[in-house]
Amino acid sequence: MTGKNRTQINTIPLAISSSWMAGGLVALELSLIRCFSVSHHHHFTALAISTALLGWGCSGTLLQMMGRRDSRSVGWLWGAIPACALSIPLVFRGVQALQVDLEFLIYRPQLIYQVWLAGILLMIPFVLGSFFLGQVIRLHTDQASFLYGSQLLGGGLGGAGITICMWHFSPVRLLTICALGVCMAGIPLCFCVGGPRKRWFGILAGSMLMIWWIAPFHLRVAEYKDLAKIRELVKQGDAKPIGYRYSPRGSFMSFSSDLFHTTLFASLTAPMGPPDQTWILWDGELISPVFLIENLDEASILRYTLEQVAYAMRAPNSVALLDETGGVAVWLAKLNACQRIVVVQQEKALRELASQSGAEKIYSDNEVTILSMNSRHFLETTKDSFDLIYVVSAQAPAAGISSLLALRETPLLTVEAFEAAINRLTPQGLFLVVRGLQTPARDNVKVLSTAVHALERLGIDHPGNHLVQVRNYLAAATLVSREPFGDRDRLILETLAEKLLLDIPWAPGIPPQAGMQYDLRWDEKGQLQDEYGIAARAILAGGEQRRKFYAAWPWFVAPARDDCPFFYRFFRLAGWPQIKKIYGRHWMQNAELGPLLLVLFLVQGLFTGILVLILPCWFLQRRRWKTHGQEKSWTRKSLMTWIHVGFLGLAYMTVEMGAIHAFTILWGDPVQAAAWVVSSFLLLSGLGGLSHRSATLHPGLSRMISLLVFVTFLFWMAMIHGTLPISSSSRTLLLALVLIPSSFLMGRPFPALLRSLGRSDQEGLPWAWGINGLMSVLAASGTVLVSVFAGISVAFLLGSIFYMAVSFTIPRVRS
Amino acid sequence: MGPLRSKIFLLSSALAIGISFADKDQRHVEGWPPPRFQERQKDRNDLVDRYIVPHHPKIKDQRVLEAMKNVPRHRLIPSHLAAQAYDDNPLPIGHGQTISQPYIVAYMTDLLELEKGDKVLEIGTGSGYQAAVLAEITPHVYSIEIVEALADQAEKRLRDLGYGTIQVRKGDGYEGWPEEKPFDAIIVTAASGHVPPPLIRQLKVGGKLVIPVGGRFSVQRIVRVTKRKDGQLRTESLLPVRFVPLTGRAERES
Repeated sequence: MTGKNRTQINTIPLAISSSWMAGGLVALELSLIRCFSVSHHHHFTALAISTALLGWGCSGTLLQMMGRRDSRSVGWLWGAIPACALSIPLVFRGVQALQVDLEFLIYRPQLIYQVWLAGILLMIPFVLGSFFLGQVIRLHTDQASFLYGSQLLGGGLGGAGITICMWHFSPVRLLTICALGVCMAGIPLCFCVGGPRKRWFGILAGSMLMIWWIAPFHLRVAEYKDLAKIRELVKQGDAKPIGYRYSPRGSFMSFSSDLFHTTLFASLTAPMGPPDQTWILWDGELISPVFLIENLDEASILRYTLEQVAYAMRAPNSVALLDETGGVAVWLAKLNACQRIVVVQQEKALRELASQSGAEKIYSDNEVTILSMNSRHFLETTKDSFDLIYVVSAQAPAAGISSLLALRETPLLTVEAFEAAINRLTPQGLFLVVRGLQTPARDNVKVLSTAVHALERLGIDHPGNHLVQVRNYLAAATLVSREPFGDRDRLILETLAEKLLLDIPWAPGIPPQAGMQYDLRWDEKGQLQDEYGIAARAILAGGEQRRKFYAAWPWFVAPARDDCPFFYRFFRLAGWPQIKKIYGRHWMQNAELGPLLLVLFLVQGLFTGILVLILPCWFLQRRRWKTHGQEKSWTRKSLMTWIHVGFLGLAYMTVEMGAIHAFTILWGDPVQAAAWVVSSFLLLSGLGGLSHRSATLHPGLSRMISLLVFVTFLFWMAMIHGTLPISSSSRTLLLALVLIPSSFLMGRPFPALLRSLGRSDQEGLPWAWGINGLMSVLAASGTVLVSVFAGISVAFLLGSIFYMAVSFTIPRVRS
Repeated sequence: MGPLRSKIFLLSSALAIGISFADKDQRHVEGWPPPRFQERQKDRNDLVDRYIVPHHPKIKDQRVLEAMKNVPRHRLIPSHLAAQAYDDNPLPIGHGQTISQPYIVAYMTDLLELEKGDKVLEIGTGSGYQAAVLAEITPHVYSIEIVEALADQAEKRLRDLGYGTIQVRKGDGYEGWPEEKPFDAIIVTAASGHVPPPLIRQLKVGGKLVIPVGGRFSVQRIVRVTKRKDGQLRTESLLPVRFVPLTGRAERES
């Protein structure tokens, strides 16, 4: 293939081709997020997005380094398509072969090189694909905004398309779909240039066959995930797969084995073992057993669980089981003769799988109603009141792996969620959360602090009278009542304590000694200590005592709120000395360093960005200085350009990541939120770019965007503080409507800048690509850190500030 | 029978009965105590003196420390890891399993408060190291391993080393070893979500059960369960640990 004169290239098929390629790349980004959610954890979103952005930036720099001589060459296009398509399965196989397990990083820091190498490998398809997109624009610089806009549009459609595919295909199969899709980007290209089409179709067809042959079928899962362990059991014949389902929210699998023995924190005094059961896994983690039982007698072990305390105290008639999976909580409700049992479970695929795995009988019971909706929505929209509301998902075994889950949003475990639940209780109703124990005390301290803050928000003067916390050697149950607990409750508790070997860290009218009777814990001086009781009394004391307690505890146990909904964030820098003292020389492995993974991605992104984006620009610049005999210094104009594009990169990604977190709270699902937000932003930005052909950089545009993002910030604040008296669905719709104009306009500044630089400062183009790419990468991980430690509202505020900064750097670029 | 003969008969009977109820260690058990190994004795002494003795919480039972000095750990691990045998670290032994950190082995053994002649059940034979340490104190060691290849390998190695009184079986440790109940002590060497009820049933009154409780990859706690004389159970949450399965890479265990 020889270079073709660009006037012979039809723009429309070229736009379709590049749109298709852009769609393939966005689809690849989202597919990687889905794959990582299963193989590791979903907050590898930050890694996947950073990798894609690095690839994008790198390709831009590469194109500029090629110089003018190849700017009209179509030959690069032909090569880039099959290269990109084939690289997808090859690279993923390579990454799997590296066996990157981030959980081991804290044991062996040398593994960081594997993480870095995996990041570099994953970049390759994005580099090749973005290279194609960039070269398309170079072929028709006069149609650059049209082509760029069509690429953004294609990206949005690709994101939407792969999200639909997530319902039908396994995560690893999605990668094959992306590779085949990228290959198909070559078909329109055949119709816009002359030459031997047959040969080109042959190459495409051959590439597709090769992709099918080398496509990975098996997703390697990190050793720390339950799926890895179960696969071992399957290999040795001790477990069998039952079924699977896929959705954008997750991959769901179920297995059966005689070796499954979950008892749901049953007491040591239980005379019987757990019944035969199957297990349901969500993205590789056990979320619930399904008891294979036919009648209530077989469920007797459930009478020895902590949940039974709630039933014994108030004999509830109506129960709401939030995020219930597997039917076990329903069996317990039936065992206690509840007449109305409402199961709230948003994920249809999960319910189907649970039914297939043995829960069909209990789910089809006459007294059971199943609601397919987000549990948080349910709490805020239901008109019904319940005698018992139980957050079933809070006790999932997987939830105990807090280190990596520290980055997971938890809409049901915030102060606002607890408040909403308490408001839905009948006067004698109870709200219940059960969590496993940790050392030092952690999760259940946070549950109690969340409950206390929620009761205070409801205007209750003495929250301690409305709270009970009991525990056995495995877990603790926190019960919240609308009415104060009375003598009758105390008597029931004392009886149950003896029967189930329960310690009572907090209950009104029960002395502190009841917190250390059956499961003994010792402090460093060898004295008996009740950590949970100490924590409860300090938090309930309020004021300065509470503040001092939060400051002194080794973990971060202040409650999560909707603006900062990360219940599993326990990391405290100030707590490290105590953790070191408790765990000795292995303290690092136990310090809950999950959020620091984001710092790792940030540092990795910075390092890689400098290596592949900035350094090539630097060498290119030096070569130009040498060639043209120019003075080796940058102009003020160049420096201001860099600042401008840097802020542009920061601003766009900060707003986008903030939106992902916001919709995660509203929808209750991070991967689906990421998929729809990324796609929508690209779609709308694409439309914005397509509709704006000017090369004039107007500060008013960025200021308008800044104002719109600030309105989003205000809207979000009003929403989380409950000052908007509208339903959840309306809030979701309004937030989307508020974001639409800003994301539309956000598609204009960068193409306008590129057009401006193309006319006035060609040498600045690679720097623009490089710095914009680098800052976008930093913003992807940085915004997550901001959300975890400061709140989602701060992310929106920062986005607004960055766009304002963009507006103040524009005039100097023009001068 | 005359008075003297009656007295002699009564005394003899009493003596015979007394002997039969005597401390079990007075009776000879074939193959016990296990042989002594001179190979790398200095390394074992260093391991105990430098890493285990100074470690907190302290090991109270001197017999445990002696046992740690006797068991040839280097003979129970893959040969290519022999150089690391007497570091205070866990090591991979294949099939995603590990041989535990020596201090933890000593600590958990110490918690059992074993006496000579006690019958002890181990869940999770693994390399056989823990079983060998137990067998230094008492001959009656029963060990269950779920991975058949590991069970076979451990059984052979222990037999070759002269730990002939240890009985190894492949099976689901959750169900314990009901044929040999009750046990004076039970030790579980893999992190578990809870104490299996069958093990509680197979524990003798007055006996102790030691188990790391917690999620597979979160921080676990070593819990000791005591079945008191009145049949009541009490638990003690002791040392926080992290039993982490390895994948061919050396890891650290708290």
